[in-house]
Amino acid sequence: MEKTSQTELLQLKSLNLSFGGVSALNQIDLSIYEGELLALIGPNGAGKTCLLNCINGFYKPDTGQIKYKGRDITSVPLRNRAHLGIARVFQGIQLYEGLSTLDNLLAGAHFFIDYNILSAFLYVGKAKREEIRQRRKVEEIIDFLEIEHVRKKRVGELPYGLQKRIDLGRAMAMSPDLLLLDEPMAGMNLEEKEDMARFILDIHEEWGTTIVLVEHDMGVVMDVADRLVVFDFGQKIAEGTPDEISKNPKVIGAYLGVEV
Amino acid sequence: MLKKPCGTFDETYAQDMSVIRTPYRGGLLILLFLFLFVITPLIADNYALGVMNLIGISVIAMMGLNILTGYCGQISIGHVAFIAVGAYTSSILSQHLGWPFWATFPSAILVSGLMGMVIGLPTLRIKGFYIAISTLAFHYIIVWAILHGGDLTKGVWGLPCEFPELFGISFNTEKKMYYLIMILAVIGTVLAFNLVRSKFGRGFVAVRDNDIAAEFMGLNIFRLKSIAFIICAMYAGAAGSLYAHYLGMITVEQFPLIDSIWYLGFLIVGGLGSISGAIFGVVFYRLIAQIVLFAAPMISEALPFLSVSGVAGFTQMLFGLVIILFLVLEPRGAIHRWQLTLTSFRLWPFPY
Ligand SMILES: Nc1ncnc2c1ncn2[C@@H]1O[C@H](COP(=O)(O)OP(=O)(O)O)[C@@H](O)[C@H]1O
Ligand SMILES: [Mg+2]
Repeated sequence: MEKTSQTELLQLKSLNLSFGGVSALNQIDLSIYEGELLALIGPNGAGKTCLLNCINGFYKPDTGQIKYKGRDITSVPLRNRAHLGIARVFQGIQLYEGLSTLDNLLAGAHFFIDYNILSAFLYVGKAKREEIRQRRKVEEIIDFLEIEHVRKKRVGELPYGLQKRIDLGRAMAMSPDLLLLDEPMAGMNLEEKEDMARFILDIHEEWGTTIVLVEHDMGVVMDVADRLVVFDFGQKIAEGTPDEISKNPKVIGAYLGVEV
Repeated sequence: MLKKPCGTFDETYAQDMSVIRTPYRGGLLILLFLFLFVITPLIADNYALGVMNLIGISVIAMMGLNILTGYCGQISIGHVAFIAVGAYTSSILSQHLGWPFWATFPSAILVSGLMGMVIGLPTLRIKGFYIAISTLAFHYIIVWAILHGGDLTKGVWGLPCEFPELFGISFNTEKKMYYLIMILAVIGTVLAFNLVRSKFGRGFVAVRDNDIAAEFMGLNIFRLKSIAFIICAMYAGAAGSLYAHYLGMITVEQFPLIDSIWYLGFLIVGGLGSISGAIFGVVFYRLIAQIVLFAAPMISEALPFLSVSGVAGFTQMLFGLVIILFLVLEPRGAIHRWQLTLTSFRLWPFPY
């Protein structure tokens, strides 16, 4: 598993974020290295989603700095961070439910598809070529995630487990360098969880995508992660390999003791 | 969109994306073409042609509203105002400057589109219900402008507008207008069909279904909403222009606010966010009005205690009733029900 480089893809420097006196993130320093699968764990309300939202640019930290590929992106707006290669799978379902599976994925690739409104009206030439090119790319993801059979179904009508997979597919269609997964296995049965874990590992290994995985299920996390970071009450209380974390008394006290 | 019957597979993505994917669809399109351009002109009398002409113009208007409301999810109750802008632009240019149809028509589209851009601007800040209210305000601004337009709009008296003339042909009969209107309606529908299956169409639905997720995915929400507003207004402008040139005379009363509501209502009846649903909605809308028109004299004969105006109010009541029925029974529109029927039919006899 030693394919993790020592180059930092993302650096968070003393991030602070609070909501009306409640500190959601407290002096967070964290580096994410290129090609690693980093798991972010911690009890409910620990600030995991908030951290992802800061990386995405949905929340702006009160103080602190975010560097991505060596560049300060602290004040780059949400939408432009997607263009920089930061993709997100949300907690719960946040799909475009009126679109088919195929169209959800194509919508993920939206900003790669390059043609203007006039050719869209005529749907010839460049528009058609671009659509076919993206279709090819998206079909690879559909094969990979084994969702061929629901390709043309409206996603709103599909079961939860499949929707979650499509959510992952849409993020993959953004060709991300950094993939942020917020509890992608929550609410799934064991089999679905295993499938999802396998997909995440495969993305990590075949595509070499850097992944931040927020997850409650310790068993899964210990299996798949290269490195773990533990949050509690907005603070980073531990960081290390799965082995180190499982032996860390602080973690056992704050989290493992309760959960396992 | 129609699904393919089981057992039919596509060879290439280009083929999969093409319009005529099954013989069924090809056949349907040929039938539709024959109906529109061969059978109807042969058998329809002037009255029927007149109804068809109104349907054709409304289809063009509905295509625009469907893109804005059906696909992009932004509710507009100013649609008729945009139609009025198109109609008055055409009449003013035709009447005061003597411009021919080929110049007034695109001008109407352009002017209406510009207004759509301006009205769409506040969407940067406001959402949902508030957008609806701002389009309502727009309606009253336009009505006020028409009434106080002096010589330009001739206030309450209305403006005449020349019949269209193209390639030396004057479209001065119902039948000639019928060809012009239907050709433009077909073109408008094909363009809308292409747009909604393009990246823009997907973007519109993304904004409608989950604008926050869409922004995480790098979509420019504001730009997409603005584009939807502009296109919607352009379709309305085209419909308005045709309406003015077809009627030969327009007044402000021809653009009542309630029609904007009916457009929205029958878009829901047909099926929001579906091209065929939008067409179905329009046809239904115009046909109900016709049925009431025929039935009204009979009703007032049978029930003499109802006044004439009471019977005339039937149309509006029936519109309301139909919309309520659909909202309760099939909120996803007639087209959805039709597709369910079609799907079960195609899988027959093996419904797995
Ligand atoms: N938009 C918000 N407004 C107010 N409080 C918030 C908001 N988002 C998160 N919080 C608070 O910040 C804390 C961390 O939340 P979150 O990051 O969602 O936790 P989790 O680790 O479970 O994902 C919680 O106390 C939560 O109530
Ligand atoms: Mg969370």
